[in-house]
Amino acid sequence: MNMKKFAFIKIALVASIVSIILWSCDPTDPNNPNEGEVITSLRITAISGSDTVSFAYSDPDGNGGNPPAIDTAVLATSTVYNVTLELIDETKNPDDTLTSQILAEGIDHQFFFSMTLSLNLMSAYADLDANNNPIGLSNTWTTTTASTGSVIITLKHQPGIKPASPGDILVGETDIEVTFPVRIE
Amino acid sequence: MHHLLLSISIQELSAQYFKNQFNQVALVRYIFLMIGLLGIAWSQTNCNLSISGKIVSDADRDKMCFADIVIKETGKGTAANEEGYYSFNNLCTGKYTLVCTHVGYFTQEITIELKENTIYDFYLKENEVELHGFTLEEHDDKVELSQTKYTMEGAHLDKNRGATLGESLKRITGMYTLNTGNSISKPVLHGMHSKRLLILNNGVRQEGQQWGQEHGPEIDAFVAKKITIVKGSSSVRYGSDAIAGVILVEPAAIIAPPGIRGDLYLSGNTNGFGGAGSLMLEGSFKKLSALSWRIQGSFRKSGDVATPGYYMANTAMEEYNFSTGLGYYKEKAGFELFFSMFHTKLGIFSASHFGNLTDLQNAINSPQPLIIRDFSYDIDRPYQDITHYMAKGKAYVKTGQKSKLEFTFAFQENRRKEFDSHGSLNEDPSLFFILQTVTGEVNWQHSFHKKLKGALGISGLYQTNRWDGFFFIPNFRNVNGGVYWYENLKLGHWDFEAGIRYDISSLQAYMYVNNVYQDPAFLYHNISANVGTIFHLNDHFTARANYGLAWRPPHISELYSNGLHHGSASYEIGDSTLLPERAHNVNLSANLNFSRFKLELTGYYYYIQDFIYLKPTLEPVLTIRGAFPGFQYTAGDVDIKGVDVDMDVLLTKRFVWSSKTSLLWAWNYTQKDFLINMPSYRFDNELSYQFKDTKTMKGPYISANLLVVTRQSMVPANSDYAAPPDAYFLVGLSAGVDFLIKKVQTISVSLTVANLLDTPYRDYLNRFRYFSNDMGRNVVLKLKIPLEFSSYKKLKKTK
Repeated sequence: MNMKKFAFIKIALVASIVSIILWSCDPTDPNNPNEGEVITSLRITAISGSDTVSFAYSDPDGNGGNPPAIDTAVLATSTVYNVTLELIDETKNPDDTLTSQILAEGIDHQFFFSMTLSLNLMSAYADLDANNNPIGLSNTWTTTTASTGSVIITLKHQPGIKPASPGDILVGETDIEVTFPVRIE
Repeated sequence: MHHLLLSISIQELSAQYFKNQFNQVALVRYIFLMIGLLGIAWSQTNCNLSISGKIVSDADRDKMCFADIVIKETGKGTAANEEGYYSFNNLCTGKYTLVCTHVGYFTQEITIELKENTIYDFYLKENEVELHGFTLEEHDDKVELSQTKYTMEGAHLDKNRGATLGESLKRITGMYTLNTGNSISKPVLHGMHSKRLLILNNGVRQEGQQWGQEHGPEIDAFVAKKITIVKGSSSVRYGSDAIAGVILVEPAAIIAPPGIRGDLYLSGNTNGFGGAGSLMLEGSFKKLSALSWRIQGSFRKSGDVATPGYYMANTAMEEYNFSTGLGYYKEKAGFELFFSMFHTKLGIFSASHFGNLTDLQNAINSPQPLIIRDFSYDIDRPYQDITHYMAKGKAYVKTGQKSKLEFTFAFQENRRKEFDSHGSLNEDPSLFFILQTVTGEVNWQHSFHKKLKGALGISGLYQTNRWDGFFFIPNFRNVNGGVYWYENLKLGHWDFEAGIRYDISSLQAYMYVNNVYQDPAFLYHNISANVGTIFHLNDHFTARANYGLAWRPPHISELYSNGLHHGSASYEIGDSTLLPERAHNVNLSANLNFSRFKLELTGYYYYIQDFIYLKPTLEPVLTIRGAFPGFQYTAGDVDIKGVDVDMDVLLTKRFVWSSKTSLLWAWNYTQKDFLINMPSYRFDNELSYQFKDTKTMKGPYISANLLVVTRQSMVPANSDYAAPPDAYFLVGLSAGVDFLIKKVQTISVSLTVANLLDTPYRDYLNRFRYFSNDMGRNVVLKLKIPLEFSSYKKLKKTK
């Protein structure tokens, strides 16, 4: 083995190391995980005449980190409420609302409301998507006698597979699943 | 003198002819032959010719030292030297028949029309009619290890081919797999996997996103000609983090006979209605026989996997691989270039994606998955799409009689895309990692004295990671350097080995935490060591003892994971205060080797300080998408101990009983409890019957095996969402034969039936055991067809 060949190997080695390091991607400029769309809060507003009840699930720092805060909803007996849902991304400044996006993609989304048996609350859809199927951003809630329990609000993403009214909670993937304690008094 | 030699050979020939085949045809042939030979003798009287070459094993291209080689015509014989080379000198022009024999290999004959100095290399094919159990072999050029080593090659490897690498290794005692459904299987050795079980693919550290429990090794199992498992810490030679051991996946060296030859593997399986195939072609050039090339491609495709009773929805997979290489080997120096691409798309079992803990409980309580669909080849969301590229260059220079300087340089890029089942409508992955790794090594194998050999080397690694999509692990840059030195001394019955290694590793992460840019840096350095001894009493008994000291810095995922792991529907949380792991490992083994009885007994003990593992948080992680089971990276002082027993018994001349037993116990001293996710006891027994060879059939066998896996009762209290599954036993059948066509062409056929009784079972180390039974009956048919073209064939046909 002569020195010439040695030198060649050395040069080739160094050249390839340098070129690969220059070519490899730079990790020092990371993505900000909060740049993408994240639903951090679900705000619910229930209006009956002059009576307004607001409650929310909020996790401003997103998944992980601090645990989310979940409000208890206190509703009046024998009342009909107009209920609207709002989806917020609080990792942005100012807060970004994703509600219009769900509305625009209404044919691919549906909210479901299920109540525990003890709770005397009924929910009916008050909005429709382009195919005349319910979305669930606007609803009518009717209470009867005093009771306690919880409402589970589920948002299903059903791209191209959304079943006709009244819909099917088993279809698609869960975007939101939040349980609110509810007291009717 | 020349004439004398010729006449002797003719006399011999004629004696043979008259004795064996005295008929008219033979006589006519004989006369012609004599005339021909006389003619040659008259026309040319050059008797300074030589025939030389090397003798290598066709399966792994290992040189076959001391193979016997005889010239039929002259009766002159010789043996290949230590390097596998042979030569016959002072031959006259003429026709010579060379017969090459070696124990355990088919005898090869070749007729050469000698006119000028000729080089002919023998590629001996393994005679597979022997105990296809374990082989403990000693490499001539490599220092023997005092750890237990298990090599799978030739027919034994072919039998397990067509599956993923993890599945191919499962039959090795002490090996297990950590499965995510049936498409992802990660090799586990002595309860350890991922970063603790190093995989050396073609001499290069495999650098993929190995940290994930549902990230299988990105290796095409078809490329391997030989897979070796080194049990026990092997940090000095292979890297400080080889705590559990090393898996060496080795393709055959790129040394091919002149002309073109190849191998075609085909397999089909009934479960998943899938198939796999691989085509390899290789050859070398007549004018430049030291230069060989190889090109190989393979595919695997399978639909939804069936369990007894139902299909697992969205468990289809497909895989396409390609590799090519160029080798130039001379005695003094040589080089090898290699490029490979691995690509796979794996469906993730639909029912493993659930909304919250209630759903998880429902899924666990349900006797069958909550989502069941008809059989399909479609791969829907969620799925993984992974591409792994590797380019490698290797060169060696002989620096003396027994010393060699080796340079290895490799580049790898791993692109892992994970598509969440409910990602956006556009085709952006939910998780996307690009991991680029450059590795380099300079290794000097040397021998200062006949009885002392060793190696000295340096190695380096430069790695960057970038992510896109949802956050899971941060971007990082990792720079490693290591120096090692080991020596092996042979003294009579004893071999002593000792080695030491120093590594320094720098890790810097780059990320945003709550919109604030952070770039924490870590520096780790430490020493690894190995001492061991081998005692060879005689051919029948060998004992080994080894102590290894290894360490492993925490991986970025263990420090900074924070996110929903889509492949496993779990929320994983890192801990940036974790310290490097420190492992002490003792291995003791005894090997008995008799013609009718082989036994290998290995006992191992690992004590690992600050062992990092995923501990369930029990409190689920609540997200707006529901509650997910949480797992926190935690460290504890643990020990792992166990026994591996391998036994082959020749019950009668044709009945072989092979028995493999793995027992393992693990304890977490910090928690004062068992260690989670450790394999349970495993007993694998096989009875095979070897039929008599016929003219056209070599090594026909049938075998039945029974695998018993006990219930893992040694689990930490209240740490899991479901109790470990029950014990199970599986019955399997297999049969195989090599068809010999025209004495040259061999076609190997094998048929295996796994889970013959279609037993429903769940395995503790399958991450989908919460949701579904494991795979049901599967019938696999495999074919191996060696292909021989052009001059290689012609040379052989001249016989």
